[in-house]
Amino acid sequence: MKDLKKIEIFTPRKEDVSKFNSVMGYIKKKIVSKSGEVMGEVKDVLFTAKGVKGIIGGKLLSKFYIDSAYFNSVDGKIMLSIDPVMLLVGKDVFDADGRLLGKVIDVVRKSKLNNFKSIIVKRKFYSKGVEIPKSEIKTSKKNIILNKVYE
Amino acid sequence: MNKMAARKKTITSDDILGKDAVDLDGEILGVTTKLHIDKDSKKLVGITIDSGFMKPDLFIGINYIKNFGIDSVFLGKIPVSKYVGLQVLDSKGKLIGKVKKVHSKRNKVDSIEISHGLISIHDIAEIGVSVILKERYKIKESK
Repeated sequence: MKDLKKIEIFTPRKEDVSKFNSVMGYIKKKIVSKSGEVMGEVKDVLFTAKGVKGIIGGKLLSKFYIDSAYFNSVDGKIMLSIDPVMLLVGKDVFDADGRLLGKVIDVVRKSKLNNFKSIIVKRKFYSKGVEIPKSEIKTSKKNIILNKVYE
Repeated sequence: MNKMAARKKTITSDDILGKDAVDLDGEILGVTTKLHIDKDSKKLVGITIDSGFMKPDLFIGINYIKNFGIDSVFLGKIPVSKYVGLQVLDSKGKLIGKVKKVHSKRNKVDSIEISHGLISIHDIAEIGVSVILKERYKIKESK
């Protein structure tokens, strides 16, 4: 934290206080996933007496919490060590035969960890969603390619 | 093989042209616009992909095509040229530049060129939506 020269410091610690991060400095920082996608910006910082535990990020109307265990770096942007599973939403899904099944509209998560059980895919707004288990996903990078043929 | 089975295995140009070309990452590289046929052997040797406005067309050889799907053409490799234009960030998220050129060996990225110079694949942590460098790249730069 800068500007500490102007204030009185009371601390029993030997560490350099000016090297501590300011919570205010986190606000509005961009959050970048492992693959480099900007997920949103920091809206709030959650901490206990022992330090920062995580951040609440947001983009438009969606909000999410990312634990500090998934931080790679917080100096410039918040660089994550994971691609959160919610980033799958909106990706195109192709079956093994190259058939476009639709877009991911939801992710069924297993737990609060960054893993999932299945994805829900819809082709059209009015069509019924299809649940596809994680085991049928071959690639999930820019879009999703399955290892199974869907009729 | 009877005639019916042989016909089922045959597709027409209509089944390929206009379809999205999808690479191994699942990225849609563009739309298939041309078929290239060898005059002598009368065999399909490749396709042309229209990558979109202001982007050069891509020629994909038949050996790089995995299969002709129902709604798309699956490619068996990732054309390294698709990384041109990606943002390059250091490990702290600072923008270093943009990929100007990709140097490859056997269709695998060997190094990328940005305005600062060359960055070896060993200094790259991730190539995805952006290129993210390893922490050690910054140490090298400051020397």
